Amino acid sequence: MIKSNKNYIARKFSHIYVEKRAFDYPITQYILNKFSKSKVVAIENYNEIFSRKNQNPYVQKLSPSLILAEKKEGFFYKGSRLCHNFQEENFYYTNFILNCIFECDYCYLKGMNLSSHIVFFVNLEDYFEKINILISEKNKVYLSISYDSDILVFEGIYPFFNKWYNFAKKNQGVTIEIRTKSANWKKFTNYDPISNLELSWSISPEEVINKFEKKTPNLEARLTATSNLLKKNWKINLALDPLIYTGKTWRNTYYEFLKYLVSRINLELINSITVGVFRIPVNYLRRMKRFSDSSVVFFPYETIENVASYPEDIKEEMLNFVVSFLEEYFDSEKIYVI
Amino acid sequence: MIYILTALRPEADGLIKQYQLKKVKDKPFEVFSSEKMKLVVSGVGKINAAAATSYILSDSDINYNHEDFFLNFGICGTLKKELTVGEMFLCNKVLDYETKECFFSDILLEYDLEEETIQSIDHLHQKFDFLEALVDMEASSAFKISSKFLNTHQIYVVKIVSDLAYKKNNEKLSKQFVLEIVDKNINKVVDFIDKTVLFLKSYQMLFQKRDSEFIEMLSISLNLTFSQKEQLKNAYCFYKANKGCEPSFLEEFLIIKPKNSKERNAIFDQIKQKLYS
Ligand code: SF4
Repeated sequence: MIKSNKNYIARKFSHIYVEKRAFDYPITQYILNKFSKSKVVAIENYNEIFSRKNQNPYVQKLSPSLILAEKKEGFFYKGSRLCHNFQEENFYYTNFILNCIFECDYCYLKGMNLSSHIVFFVNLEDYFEKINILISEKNKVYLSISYDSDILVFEGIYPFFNKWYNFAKKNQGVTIEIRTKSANWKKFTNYDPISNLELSWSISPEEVINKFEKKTPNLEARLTATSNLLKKNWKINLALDPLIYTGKTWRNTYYEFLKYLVSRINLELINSITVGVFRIPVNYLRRMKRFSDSSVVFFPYETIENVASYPEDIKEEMLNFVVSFLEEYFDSEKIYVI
Repeated sequence: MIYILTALRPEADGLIKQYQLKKVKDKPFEVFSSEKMKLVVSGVGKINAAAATSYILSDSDINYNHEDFFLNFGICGTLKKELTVGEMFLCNKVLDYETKECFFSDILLEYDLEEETIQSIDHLHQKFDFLEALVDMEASSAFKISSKFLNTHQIYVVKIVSDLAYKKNNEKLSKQFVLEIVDKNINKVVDFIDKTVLFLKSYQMLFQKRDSEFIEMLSISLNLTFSQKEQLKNAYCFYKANKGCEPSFLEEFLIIKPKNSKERNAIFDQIKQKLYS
């Protein structure tokens, strides 16, 4: 519960911590030029800041710092069982950015990471090199690149999208997925859509956005972005994930939302839809309870195999309700339920 | 509570006067205090600083100390020729010269202070490299120990340059001189402290000490099991987060004394249902 006088809170990225090895990368120089007023502090390793045990990630959200680091290993990972793999056997994810500036109360990042400071790994070329090796081994790779962050919200700081777009364009063996809640669709009009780059928009009822997805664009803005890009033939997925139980009125909340969705978006043009209820590794949830003031964190979830989620009856009811509605308008083969 | 550590008494005098602190202990360390502040004079060096930090912070209630903060305040040398004697800095990096461990405050507010980095060394007489801008003999160990009690946005190091350490002439500074340079900066230190206090006050945890005490009381009175007590705490937090206020209706359950575990379980279920509805 933070009711601070915003006047004296330092601006975002007032401090930039830079690994000594990361200084020489063009991305670092580009960003430091952009933030010429920030205090720059040289560090040996990003974990000196990021992995300190005594941090309060909720307070840090008021004025997150930026950490520029060089990734040394782990350029990609096999997809988690908690995320859908779109039936892609070679489903991988990569995290060249850690953390996010949006503030979704249910976001697992605050449970997974000890810090809310944002990390950019600046050696993107090393990512591309390692992913190229993976592609040559597997032939086809589905790669989610907005996994431990919402990368599109950082476009104003560095044009990461441009780099990944060019990478996808050159490498037909990879399909890149970017998941986002952002509303910045205009930047995509500078690019031609390509078949191996998918944008996945996470959408929720306005009530859920207002209550639990702080600082994110509203539903209208997200749907405007989606529909404009559909018109320009971009490959768009929708993620109705996580579905959040909003109390006894959840059915009405989601019914209104779904009705609005089908009135605003021509679902026939959508590539796929993912539906899943809120779920989180129980150790992340435990950590979130130490700091959070959101009811979504304190719901009486049930834990199965170390994953906390809604009790089976609520889960089933919510999934059935949403999926049956969508099936009226959308090919059920392309609805992925998690 | 504001916890302050200085190595020497002249570094402390300005704050003692400003905040009208009263001497409450002489040994093992001099301690001065008021209702809201505790200041310890550690003596020179990392071991003294570590011991004194632990000494004053040991009464901080580790689960509910979100409004507390720790400040290592005092004088230091500069290793950077551009810096001049009398300038005061908030340290954004504290390096332990011997162990190479680094410590960082989360500086979340706009302060009217310049920032620099500092290295803490064991002996000023030894030959040492200039790795950071400033040098002292306490900050790293004070930071390390205070990190066991407080979060990174509750620990700060503020230092005034008192000598040009890059010249390595190790002159002894007069008490009067230290008093003067502290006095010149005292308003800025007070401003720093006030801003930090105000900020930390505005940050309130959902589950506070009084909530914990209430849960404890109710659990004893209803004879709840450990697992029920944990569930009650979760449900209590859900209610508070959801409704934005404490569940005052729970008070009426304080006078209920269940006769057996069956009755207790029934009451417990009733409470849970109300909290989650
Ligand atoms: S937008 Fe995604 S990554 Fe960012 S806070 Fe929300 S859930 Fe987390």
